[in-house]
Parts: sequence; C-alpha cells; structure tokens
Amino acid sequence: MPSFLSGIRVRLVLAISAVTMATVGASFFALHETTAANLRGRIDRELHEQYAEFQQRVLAGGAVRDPAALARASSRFLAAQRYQPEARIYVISPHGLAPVTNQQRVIAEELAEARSGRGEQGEAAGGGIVAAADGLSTVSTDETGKLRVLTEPVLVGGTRVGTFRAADPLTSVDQALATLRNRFIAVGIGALLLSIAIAIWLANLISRPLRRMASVASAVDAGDLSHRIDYGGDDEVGVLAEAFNHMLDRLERGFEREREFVSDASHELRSPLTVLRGRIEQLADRVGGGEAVRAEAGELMREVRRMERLTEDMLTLAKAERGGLLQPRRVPLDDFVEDLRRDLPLLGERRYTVESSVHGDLRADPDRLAQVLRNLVTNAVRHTSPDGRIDVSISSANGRAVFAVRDDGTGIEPDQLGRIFDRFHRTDEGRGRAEGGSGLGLAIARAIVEAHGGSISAESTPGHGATIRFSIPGYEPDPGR
Amino acid sequence: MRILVVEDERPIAEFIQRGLEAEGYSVSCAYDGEDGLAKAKSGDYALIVLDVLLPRVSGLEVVSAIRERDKGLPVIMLTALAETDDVVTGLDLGANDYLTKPFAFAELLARIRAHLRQPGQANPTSLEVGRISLDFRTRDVSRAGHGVKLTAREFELLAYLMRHPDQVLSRAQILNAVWGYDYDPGTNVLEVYIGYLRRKLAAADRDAPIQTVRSAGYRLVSADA
Repeated sequence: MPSFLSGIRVRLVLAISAVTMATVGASFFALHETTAANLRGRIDRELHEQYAEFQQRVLAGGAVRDPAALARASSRFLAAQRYQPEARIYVISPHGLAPVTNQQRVIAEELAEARSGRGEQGEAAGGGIVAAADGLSTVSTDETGKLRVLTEPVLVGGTRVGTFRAADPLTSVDQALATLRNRFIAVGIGALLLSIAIAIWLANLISRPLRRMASVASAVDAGDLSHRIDYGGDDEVGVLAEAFNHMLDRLERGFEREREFVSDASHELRSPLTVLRGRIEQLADRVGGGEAVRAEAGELMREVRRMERLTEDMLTLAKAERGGLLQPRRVPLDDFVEDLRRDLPLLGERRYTVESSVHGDLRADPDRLAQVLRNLVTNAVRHTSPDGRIDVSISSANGRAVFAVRDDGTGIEPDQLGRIFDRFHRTDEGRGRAEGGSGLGLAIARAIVEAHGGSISAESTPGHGATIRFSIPGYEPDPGR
Repeated sequence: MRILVVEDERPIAEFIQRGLEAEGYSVSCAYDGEDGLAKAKSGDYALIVLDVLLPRVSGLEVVSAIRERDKGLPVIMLTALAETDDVVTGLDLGANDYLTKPFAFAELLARIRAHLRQPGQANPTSLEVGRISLDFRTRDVSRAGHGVKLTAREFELLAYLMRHPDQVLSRAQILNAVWGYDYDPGTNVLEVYIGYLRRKLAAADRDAPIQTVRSAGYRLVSADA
C-alpha cells in the first residue's frame, strides 16, 4: 500500500466517504426513479381523463358518424375548452381531412416535415405527435421538446373515422428531476464533507492513544524502562496499553536480573582473580625461577590484568545502568581540562589538541567524566595511525557542556554508527581483541553519559575520521569571566 | 612482627600468608569473622588484614569491636565491593586503610609497611607529611600554612606520595596507583605532573620536597623543616 494510504486517518476517511457516497447515490437513484414514474403516471392519467372528456363531449349522443362530423365536433370541443392550456396539444385527425388542433403552427410544421420525406426514417419511429402509434408513447419534437402522447382511435359503429391525440410536455418532469438531482448533489457534497470531518475526528480519537503509545514505546530502551502508558479507558486500546505495560514490567525485571547477574558475576570473579594475581606475583619473585619463569609470569599477568579490566568494566557498566555509580560534585572545568590535556599522551602517542571555550563549573562525577573521555580517546587511538591526530573540544550550549572527540582515522561505516555504543560491539572483528580492548569502552561511555542525564552520538565519513560528541547538563559559566 | 589475616576465601588467605611470610612477617589466618575477632582479642598482633564480607560476623563489626579495645592497632580492609559506602563505613568505624580486590601484592606490602611504621596515624581523612597537609574531605592542600590549589590529578598524585613518605616509588608504581588504567610505558605524563606539583608546592625560600631518585623513581621527603 502506498504510504499516503497507509495512515489510519486516510483509510478511515476514504472508507467513510465511500460508504456515504454509495448511500447518497443509491438514495438518489431510488428517489429519481420513483419520482419520474409518479410524475409520468400523473401525466398519463390526465391524458386519459382528457380522452374520457373528449369521448363524453364529442362522441356521446351519436352525432358524429363520419370524419367531417368528427372534424366539426372536434373544433367545437377545442373551442369549448374552458381554458387554453398552452402546454397541452390536441390533435384530432379525421380520416381524409386536415387534422383539427389547438396548436396549428406546430402541427403544420410536423406535417410539412413528414411530407418532405424525412419521415421515412424518423416520423414512424415516434419523431412527431401525428405519427404516434395507438396507446401511450413518448415523442420528441424540435419545437416543444419531449412530449407524452396518448393516441386513441375514434370509432363509430366499429369503423375508425379518425384518431384522437393528446400530448403533454415532459419538461415539468425533467425540471422536477433536475431539481431533485441538484438537491442531491448539494446534499451529497454536504454529507461527504460531514463524513470526512467525522472520519477525521474518529481517526484522531482512535489514533491519539495509539500515537501516545508509540511515543512511549520509542522512549523506552534498555537504559530506561520506567515509562508506562497512562490510559484509563477499558476499550480495545486500553487492553493494548495494559498488555504493553505488562510487557514493559517483564522487560524491566528481565533487564534488572541481567544487570544483577553481570554485577554478581564480575564481583564473584574478583576473588579468583585476586588469587591468580597474587600467585603469579609470587611465582615471578620466587628465587631460582630464572628468566623463563619470570617472562611466563609476566605473560600470565598481562592476561590477568585484562580479565581484571573486563570484570571492572562489566561492573562499572552494570552500576552505571542501574544507577548509584555517580558521585557528582562541582567540577571546575579549567582544572579538569588541564588534567585532561596532560593525561592524553598516556593513552598513546598521537597529535593531540585540546580546545576549551568553557570556564566554569560542571555538576558531574569528575572521575567518571574523565573515564568517558579516556574511553573515547582510547577508541580514537585504536582507529588512527601513529601519526594521526585527535582533537578534543569542550564548549557549552543551553546550560550543557558539550565534549567532542574527533579523529582522522578510518571512520565508522554508516550502518555501524548506531551500534558502536553496544556492549562488546566491534567494528572490525579481531582488531579490538588484538589490541586488548574489552569491547565495553563505548558502552560504558554511553552509560556514564546517560547516568548524568546527557546524550552521546557519533558521526563519521568513512575514511575521513569520526567524531563522537556528548553533552552533560548542569554547566554553570563562571560569572567572573 | 605478627600479622593477622582474616579472610574467608582460603586461597586468598593462603597467598597473602605466603607472601607476607616471605617478607619475614609471622602470619596467622582466620577464616570467618567470629574466629578473627577471637584471635584479634587474644593474640598480640601488630596489624590486621581484614576482609569485609565474612561469614557469621561481618568485617565491619570486627573493625568496630577491635576499635573498642585497641585504638592504635592498624586495620587494613580488603573489599571486593569497591562500593564507596562500605569503604566509608569501614573508615568511619576505625579502619586505617582499604584495598580493592584484586590488588597488587606489592601494594598491600607497601601499605602494611607504612602502617607498621606509623601506627599512630589512624585518620585517613587527612594526611600530613612535613609541612604539607592534605584533607580528603575538603580537598584542601597547604604547605606551611599557605593554601595550594591543585587539579584533581595533582591532588591524587600528592596524596599517593604522602601515603608513602620517604619511600622511593617507581614510575610504574605511581602510574598504576594514580592513573590506574593502561598507560603507555614511554609516556612522560608523570614527569609533567611532578613538574607542576613541584612548582605549585615550592615556597618562596625553598623547593618542593619531592626528590627525583635517578633511575628509580620519586620520593617525598618528610624532613621539610
């Protein structure tokens, strides 16, 4: 389905509009047909009444015996009409004589046309009044438009002496139907607009809680599962909201158990690591062990340190995600930047620049903040060549301190950008392992930044380096500067 | 010198015992809090190494029981928690120092030596060496009464030097203790910090009492009269 048709609002509007239009259309058709039949029936009745009157006045009494008498009697009948209905046309055609009519001009034209030969194809098929067959029929003339014609034979003693025709125009019917149609179009447009409005209102009513649910769902992540949908209703949406909240409860418990497990596991690993470390140290110091033992002990010690680091990182991550890791205090940023500038070479020789435009205090845990920067710079060192450069900048925006670590290294592929902060995520399998990273550095960076109420993001042009930027709220500029 | 090691994990107690014995100390072990407390009360120990998480009686209770009897006996806590709360509680109850597992045995040895040398100094919230004083709570540092403003890292470095007065500390030892993470062995960051620290601590009439010991490391001299 095309995207513009996929919204619940659009679909509801389309459906309701279609139903409305179908209903209006069907009503129109039914009413149109009924009205047309009623109006025609009335005209037909009037024509029959007219014929009955003609019979009563002209034929009753037996005065008419031949066509000539019929013509005379008819003329009298027409003249005796109390009013001259302009619209109604009478034609009484005695056999062999000129027809008697109240609309001389129209009939004369018709007869002229019939004689001129056009009748060959048209007149007999109902093209004119004088050609209409016995009974009721509908004819059309140039002069008068559509007409309803009643044709009755005039019989005297079983012999046909002429033909009686009465015609009423159908324009009144057409006009009535046209009015009906126009009204229906107006009503239809009104109904359509109303139904669209109702559909939009209805769609909003349905989609608002869904949208709210969606926004809650997108606010939820592993770091914060505390969101719940607040929807009081007990309708279907309420059922969905409740199911959703239950799911979040279970997820939260699951994550909590996982964090506890990670925390407990890394905690439990410390005792054996302590023993390992102590034993290896003693092994290296043992008299008579020789250089080979010492080298082996050094090798083992390196691995022990790596495991220590890994357990430390896992514990830090678990604590940062659970809360209670930070001990925030007022951090004078000038001092912090000074330490940072001096510490950077510890992480590997690169060309470093540290630029700061902030002079004031940041409410943060300085050790953890330093850890974030250390992890980011370590990551940058890992992805740059020994002659690469790493730029650290600190600025402020909207009461936040904004830190950026930029390198000119290999960069990050676009599909990796969102995942580099995942635990144990490696952009290049094997590379990280070879250099002894725990794979938790960036995950810890994110956890610490988020524990501070801040946010972290990465941007990169592959091949042209990467920038990781994070911001921490609680910056107060030094008023003295 | 007799040292009591109270640690429920035997392998840990064992290697500490072995290591300390190799250094010439006489060591007894206790494997739970109750036994540890009984031994501490009966025996004549110069120092106690005490695990925090112990069966039956917790390390924290042992500390406060020991303090009630003996104000001067140095107690070094071992903790796998690294939870600041427990460390603070332990120090408040009267422990003199703490180490987080896993620790370097050399570090434990150094602290034992320091506490045996100065058994009276039982207040780790502040340090005083020569005319330099340092307060962990307020993070104030002064030399001969004049306040010195240090950055966080400079403060950590000075604190470490002051914990081991007159001792020669190797570069690796200092880097490990103050920076604590993987460092580039070729770095000159320590030299840079020592330089800053000296400049800030230098008084008008005399140099800072930090000595460079050629090809060995650095030493903070307490005879800074």
